[in-house]
Amino acid sequence: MAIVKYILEDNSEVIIEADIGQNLMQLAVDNGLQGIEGACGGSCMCATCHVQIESVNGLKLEERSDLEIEILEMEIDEVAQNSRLGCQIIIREGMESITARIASISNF
Amino acid sequence: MSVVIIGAGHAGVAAAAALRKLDKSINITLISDEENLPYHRPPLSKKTIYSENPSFDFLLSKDYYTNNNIKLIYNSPVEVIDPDNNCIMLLSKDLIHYEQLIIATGTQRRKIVINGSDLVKTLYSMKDAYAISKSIANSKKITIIGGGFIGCEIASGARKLNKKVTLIEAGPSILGRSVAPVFSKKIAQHHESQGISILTNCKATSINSNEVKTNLKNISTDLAIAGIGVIPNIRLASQAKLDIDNGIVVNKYLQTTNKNIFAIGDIANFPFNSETGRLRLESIQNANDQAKIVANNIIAIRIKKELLKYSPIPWFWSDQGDLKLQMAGIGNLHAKHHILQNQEKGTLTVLHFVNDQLVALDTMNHGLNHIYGRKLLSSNQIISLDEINKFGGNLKSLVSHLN
Repeated sequence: MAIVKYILEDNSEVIIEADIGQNLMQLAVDNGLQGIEGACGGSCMCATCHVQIESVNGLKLEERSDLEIEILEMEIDEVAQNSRLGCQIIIREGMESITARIASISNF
Repeated sequence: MSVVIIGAGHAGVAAAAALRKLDKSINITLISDEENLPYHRPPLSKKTIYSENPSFDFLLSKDYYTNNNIKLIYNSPVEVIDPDNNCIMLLSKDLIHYEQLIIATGTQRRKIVINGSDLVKTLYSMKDAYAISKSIANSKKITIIGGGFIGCEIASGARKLNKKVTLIEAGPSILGRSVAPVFSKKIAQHHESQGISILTNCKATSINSNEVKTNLKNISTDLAIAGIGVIPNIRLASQAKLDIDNGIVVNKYLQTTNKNIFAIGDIANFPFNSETGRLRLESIQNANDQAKIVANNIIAIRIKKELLKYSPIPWFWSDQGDLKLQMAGIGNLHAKHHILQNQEKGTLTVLHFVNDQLVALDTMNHGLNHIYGRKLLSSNQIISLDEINKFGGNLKSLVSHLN
């Protein structure tokens, strides 16, 4: 289990406990968070689950894959060093907490 | 100012949310004919129905609508649009006035017309998904009628549950209308290798509680599910005297023939390009991108700014067992199809060329080529097969070269 803190567009914060195997897109959708849409269902096709990772405690995140980098570059005007697709960040054993700022291009 | 949106599918909800992002004060009413919170529809055939206790992904939380002052009216079919008085009437006879109306009424399932058709299940809504998930769990022999994307997804999902699955398709090949023939052939071979029995040129003639009869043979069946496509819900638009032609005819700004009425999503028939002409797309990309355009244009009209045109690079996806199919652009059966060589094992990339210009790509288990394809299609340059061959079929190198 890990603690995920989402920072919403209005700077409010939502803290959710995540189970091993969950990803940051589905977790946000399951909790009805505004700004994370997951339009393509986690297929790495759309970037409507774009987040910026502000901090990680415990096990580090895996690097962005080539596919993730390509879709970020295509869909996001200014890709930051910490830009990620929420669907590609999967909670693993050893992760303690993650802070993710929602930076979506979604309509939602 | 008040905007009314008929239909709370992906397009309708996305338009409401996009409008709210642009303008905090505008009155937004979203009318749904379902009783539940609006939800993601693609997962229904991809994952939901394969669990006995299905769960659903909602588009937005219930609080979102309240907190953002979007009036979501549930369970309320619209009876009629009165364009002369800028209002609509609900089935309850309540009247709602609008300054701008967005029609996002989508499609409805095409009905199968054969003897015993009441025994055939179809999948469109959350309610259907509950019913079908139970039926699948309780069945051993499942026959799927229709080899389009939805039919293939259900066949693969049921097969993964170890059901005996037969997929029947009236045309000469599965996915025949959607992808290159060489691509669909490969997909069919994969499904057959997984134990799905595929019958093409096969038409169901009647159904009873233990078999599906067809022109080719009788198939022992506990459960028959039809995925034979959808038809646009045009009743309201047609009563309102809007132009109808395979959906609601809109211009590149998504306006119908009535200046106060827009149409988006699966129901909108829009001008695509000179080669293809008009298109009506049933996809998430189309719903989302049109929602953004219509929200922008409604505000733009109000503040007398320039309207945005809808000119998409369409994309689609389909999850079929272990296969992820991703399509970019609008392919065509008469295009010249070329299989990209020297690709990773277990993947397939097929390019569509019309007049020696790349117009679409079908990829199987190759997300990167799908994204490179979308980049190539949006480059506004003519990409020929020669050009691709110059780079040894490496789409990444070609994309870099163009930048």
